[in-house]
Amino acid sequence: MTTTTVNEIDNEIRGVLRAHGRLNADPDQLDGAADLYQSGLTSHASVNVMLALEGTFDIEFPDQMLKRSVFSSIDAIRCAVSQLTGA
Amino acid sequence: MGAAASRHPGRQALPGVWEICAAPPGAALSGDAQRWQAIPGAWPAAAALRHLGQWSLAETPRSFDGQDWHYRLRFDAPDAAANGAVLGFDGLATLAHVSLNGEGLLDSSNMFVAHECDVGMLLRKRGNELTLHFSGLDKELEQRRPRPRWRAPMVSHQQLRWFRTTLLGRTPGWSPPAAVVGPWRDIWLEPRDAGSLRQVDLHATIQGNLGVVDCRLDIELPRGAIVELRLSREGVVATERLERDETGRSFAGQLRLRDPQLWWPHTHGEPALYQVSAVVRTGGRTESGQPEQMVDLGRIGFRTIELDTARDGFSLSVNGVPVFCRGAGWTPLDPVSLRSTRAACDAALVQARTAGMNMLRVAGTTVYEEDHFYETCDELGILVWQDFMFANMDYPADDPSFAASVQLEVRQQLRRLQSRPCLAVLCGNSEAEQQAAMWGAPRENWLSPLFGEALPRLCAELAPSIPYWPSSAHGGAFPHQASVGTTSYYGVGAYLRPLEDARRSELKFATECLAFANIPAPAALARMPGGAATRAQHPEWKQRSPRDLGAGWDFDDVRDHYLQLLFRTDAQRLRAVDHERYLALGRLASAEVMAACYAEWRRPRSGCNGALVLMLRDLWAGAGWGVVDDDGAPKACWHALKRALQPITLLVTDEGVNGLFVHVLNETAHPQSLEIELTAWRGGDVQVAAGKQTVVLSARGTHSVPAVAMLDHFMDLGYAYAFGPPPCDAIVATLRTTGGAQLARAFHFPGGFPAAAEADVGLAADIIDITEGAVELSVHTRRLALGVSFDFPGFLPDDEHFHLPPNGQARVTLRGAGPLPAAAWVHAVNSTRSARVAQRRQTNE
Repeated sequence: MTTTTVNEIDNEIRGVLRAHGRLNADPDQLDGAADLYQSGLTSHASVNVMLALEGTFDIEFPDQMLKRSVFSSIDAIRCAVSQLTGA
Repeated sequence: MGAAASRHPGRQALPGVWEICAAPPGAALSGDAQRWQAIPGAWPAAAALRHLGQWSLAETPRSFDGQDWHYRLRFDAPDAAANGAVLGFDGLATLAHVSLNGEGLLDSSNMFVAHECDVGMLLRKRGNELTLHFSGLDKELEQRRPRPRWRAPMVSHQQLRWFRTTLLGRTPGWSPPAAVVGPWRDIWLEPRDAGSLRQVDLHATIQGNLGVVDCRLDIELPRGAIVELRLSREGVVATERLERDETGRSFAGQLRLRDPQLWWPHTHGEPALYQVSAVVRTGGRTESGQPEQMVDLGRIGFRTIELDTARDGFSLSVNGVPVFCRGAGWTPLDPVSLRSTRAACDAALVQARTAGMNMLRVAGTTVYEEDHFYETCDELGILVWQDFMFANMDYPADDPSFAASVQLEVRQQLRRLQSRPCLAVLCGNSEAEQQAAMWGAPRENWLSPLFGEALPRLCAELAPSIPYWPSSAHGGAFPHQASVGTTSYYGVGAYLRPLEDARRSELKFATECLAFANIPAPAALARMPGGAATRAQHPEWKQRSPRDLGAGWDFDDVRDHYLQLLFRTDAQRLRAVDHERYLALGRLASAEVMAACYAEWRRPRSGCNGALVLMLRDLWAGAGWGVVDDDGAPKACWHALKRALQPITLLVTDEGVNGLFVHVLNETAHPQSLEIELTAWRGGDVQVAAGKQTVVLSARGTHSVPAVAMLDHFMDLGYAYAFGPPPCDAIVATLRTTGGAQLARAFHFPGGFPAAAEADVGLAADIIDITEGAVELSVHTRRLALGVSFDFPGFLPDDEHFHLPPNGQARVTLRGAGPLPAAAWVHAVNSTRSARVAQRRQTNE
């Protein structure tokens, strides 16, 4: 995985968070490891984030990955996305 | 006068033997190597296999959507008219390809669309072969399609939103796993020669004091033919000549009737219907030698329906009179075939009417019902809340092919249904907005233009006199807000709120409510896979208890919660130590909760104008949402509803520091002279107060009176003040005619229901009359008896699970076909000792 790809994925994730996360902070300013729930992410919003990630990356989250921890930070989300895209 | 011919004189089922064959998805059939099996008719696959003994609901679920299903019919058509025959398919589920004699006839992808094919050229006098090929939905669902903007957890596959098919059989939480695949409505052949009626459009409206019938008939007739529209009710009432239009192929006209008898829901008046027929005189003679032919066009009724949504409310008025709508959600009597016989359907509807129900909802999770369902609702005076077949999902309204299919479906269904007086509301969908909102979707996505614009436009065009409502839960800051518009009300119920929530929610209209896992009678439990020995925590019981998928609770838990609330008993412990009593209290718990809620909602000052229990009948044997079991036998809650929903009735509510109030309701068109009797009891048999009041209720009138007003002193009947020990623990209010006949009775227990069983309340029961198919019992009790029930094998009581005051007596008729049982018992939930039914003593004759 090249650094460029990591950045692209990151930007997409931040874009999804901006559109659907309803965070109390600007996703572009957040650290990759910052706790998203501390930034106002609710479980309701995380569900819509999940749907948007599926659409953006053309992936499907299996039931066992619909856990709090998967959406806890931008890094965690990127990890999950990489896993599901096989990248 | 010729005998009346049906609207479709030549229409017949196809002769010959239908055969069915399963195949792997997408596989082409290779000649007769396939295993074809003969079946009684063109039935859905599950119904066919059930008949062949190869599958049943008791087995491990089988995926009918996981295979392709082929049907074949070899038949002769010796009478096939050379110039015109039509092959009709009233319903094909869902992805179907039809061929006749090797030629492709049609492709269908909408289960709710009927097809008619001109087969004059293709049909042979002998040796026709009709084949139907149904493609398995599962394979289609694998294809990638754009994702929905929200999910509907109850649906087995989210992309079912792309397919015009029922959700029955595809909601693992509450419907039996038997998705309908195959032909599910009639397949017929009709000669289309001159003189056959192609289409009928009838609209009955009221204009001032006139009943107006607009009629158009598409029919090919020779020059000089005369067509007359005839309206009759107890004799011929009115006729009107219909004129041929410019095309020459239609006859149209308008008939007016002065001061017609109006159609009313049965609770408010008589559902008056007029027979409509067309008399055709061609100048020659018909085949039977008659100078004219009479074609039956069915029956119509004159009524107006108006919706008033002022002050956040939802109130339906029929003929200018506001109607409190109560009833339940209707489901097909057989979830496997989705068909019913006319007799079975009529019996089920009569039973609903007997319970005082005046509205049934055909929900978007089910199917558009058969004609005879609506005909009988017209006849019995039962209003229909008709959803279009959409539920919970994010439908692809933007997809042109989907939108076109929906247009065709809706046009056909509206054309079929719009003239029916029973049709009260046309509703876009079941819970689609609610699901979107609950899922967290942004507000602007909740109401799709399909339900906000497209459907209402179609309804305005084809059914302008019937109110349109966008969704079963609609109105307010969020769709499921109870105090505005309509909602799915589960405050009392799944959300475990106290009974007071029935009032606090300020419910205006519940299109569904009161969903519990209602425990049926022992006979129904015996029909479950585990049989009579099934216990409530066994997997076989749990498999049939409804649940919201993904929730950590089910509807047994909801019932248990209210059992604990009402009877102050630990439900789980009771289930462990006394399963029989657990079932008995469970039956009573959902019944009493339903009765208490309706008392709140029917209370004259309540802002509620209607509530429909989620489901009328169980889809399969078990503790389902139905108030009637899968076989049609009433559960305890049906009897409680019957007592709560009659047009003339009495309710008791606890108004706190204002004491108990007695409300008397008269929904009928005639004044009623009635007597209210109030008695208060302590300790199970000591009367501590009694009072009476006569009241004359106007037509459509109500009367509310504080209970204490009927006494000549103050008494803390509701135990709001608690100055000392409770002065009474049971209050009984009885409504009688001035002639003394009992019309209604309500009980109130200020300290809650008697939770413990006493040793013996002194029940006694005697047979006082035996006739063909019925037994009359006289039941008596010395002390207050709670939840009186019968153990009378082979017989169903007209009334059951009722309470009796001390020294009370009731006459109950039980009906059954077989011989009297050797032993029969009467139980009361608060009595350990039951009474054996004494045989009538032989008279000396």
